[in-house]
Amino acid sequence: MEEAHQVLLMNQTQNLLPEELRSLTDIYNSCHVAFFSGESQNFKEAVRKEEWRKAMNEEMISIEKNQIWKLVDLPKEKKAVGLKWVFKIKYNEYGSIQKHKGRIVAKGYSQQPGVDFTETFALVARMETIRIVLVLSAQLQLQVFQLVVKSAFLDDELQEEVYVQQPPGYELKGKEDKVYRLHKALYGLKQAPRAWNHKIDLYLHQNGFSRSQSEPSLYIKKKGEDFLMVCLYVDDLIYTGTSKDMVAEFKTAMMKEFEMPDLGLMRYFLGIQAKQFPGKIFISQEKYVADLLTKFHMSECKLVASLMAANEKLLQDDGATKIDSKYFRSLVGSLIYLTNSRPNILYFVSIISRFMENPDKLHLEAAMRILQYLQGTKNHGILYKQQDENRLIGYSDGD
Amino acid sequence: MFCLGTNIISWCSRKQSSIALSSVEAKYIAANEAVCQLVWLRRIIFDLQQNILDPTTILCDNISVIAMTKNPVFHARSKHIELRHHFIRDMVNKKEIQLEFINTYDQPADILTKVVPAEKFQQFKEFFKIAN
Repeated sequence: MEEAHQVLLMNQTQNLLPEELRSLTDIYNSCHVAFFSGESQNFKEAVRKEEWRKAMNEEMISIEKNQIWKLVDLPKEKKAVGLKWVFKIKYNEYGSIQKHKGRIVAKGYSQQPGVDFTETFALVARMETIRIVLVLSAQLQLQVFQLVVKSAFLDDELQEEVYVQQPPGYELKGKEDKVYRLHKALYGLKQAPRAWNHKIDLYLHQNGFSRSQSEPSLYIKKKGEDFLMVCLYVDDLIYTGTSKDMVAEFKTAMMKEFEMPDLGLMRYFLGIQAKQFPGKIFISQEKYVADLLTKFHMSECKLVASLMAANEKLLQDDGATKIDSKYFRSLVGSLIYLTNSRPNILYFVSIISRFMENPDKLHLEAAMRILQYLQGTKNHGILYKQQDENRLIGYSDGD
Repeated sequence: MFCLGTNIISWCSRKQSSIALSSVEAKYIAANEAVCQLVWLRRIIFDLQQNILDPTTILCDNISVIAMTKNPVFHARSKHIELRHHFIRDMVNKKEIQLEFINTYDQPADILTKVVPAEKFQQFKEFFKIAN
């Protein structure tokens, strides 16, 4: 029975997906590989692999090109911040490898407030805002596009005087005791996101955008009847507009001003997959669920149809064996992010999240049951559709 | 829980920070939280060039709560409610919102506050087009 159900689900997905996409099994396989093939690698392991060496060289070239730093002697009273390599595999929305990325980051945790940095801030869009933009796009039959800034935090002028050590593997022979004076921000520096935000804000204002008062990550540009909306999430952004020309013009200008590859239509943004059809947008977190199940070793688990028994009552202290709260918190946190496309599980997630402080076996069972439910409903999401009735309506209830 | 038409855009479910002495009070406080979120959503939608002059309707399954937002009734049940929870009255007066009654059986927000029967769970999913 269970198997039959699973097969049915697979077939349904395959019917929905365009032909060039791969089956679910393929996706899981590649996710599985991804978990073991790279991201946790340290520098010593990475230098042995061709693709990572190439990624590191690319990063160094990008840094030289952008004139990020200059080799100097370290002034006596200053300290140099250490650097390290971070390796990341970028995936596309089907879970296959898009690119290997090596990145130099500063060990920002050793920076001291007041000495090395004064203010920190990173601007992120609220999920509600993103959803409003999506609903409006479905309503007005617009297409939503996506851009990502390649080295957002590298481009911004630094206010403070910051020195960094030479990156591992790229120390200059005979000048090992020299350090780099940073002119522009690096990833990992405390002030990097704020410097970036300042820069993009300035650019958008100069180009006729106004920033929404109530949602600072939302920018709007008007031109007669037409308008363009841009939603920022640190260095990712989605945009859409009522005029094709305005959209195209914006894209060209942005790609010229910042180094950014064109990602085309919005398909995968903040772990949320989107499929766009005229007047319809479907969002889901299928890959996220698959990764989540793998992470908590539930990828082979049995399916359940319901999330919780109606009379089930979880208590703070019900005498069951205590479990590791770090593990539980990580599970709850992952589930909370999942509610972004799954409001129907929110209540259950909110219940288990009350036990994060002091979780025991029964609480974990309840959490695992949610995972089991997800196993059977991985590909569920929300469909936004154009409709006649478009008023804002609220529902409120308390218990 | 907020929707544009039946396109769901914002939802929230949480344990209330203060202890309510009656279900009316709990629902009143919940409605008040909804209003705060609503004010914000209305501003964003306005910023996105959408016409939003009419008051927005919040559907609530408790008649007493609706009465309380209009007039200071039920003194015995509501005299102790903190002042900040009366923000909702202000907004009703300003015609930013209006509260209307919805039958408990049709209340979709139930799904965020209690364990609901499978049938209702399914109904909710269909209403908001949560499927594969």
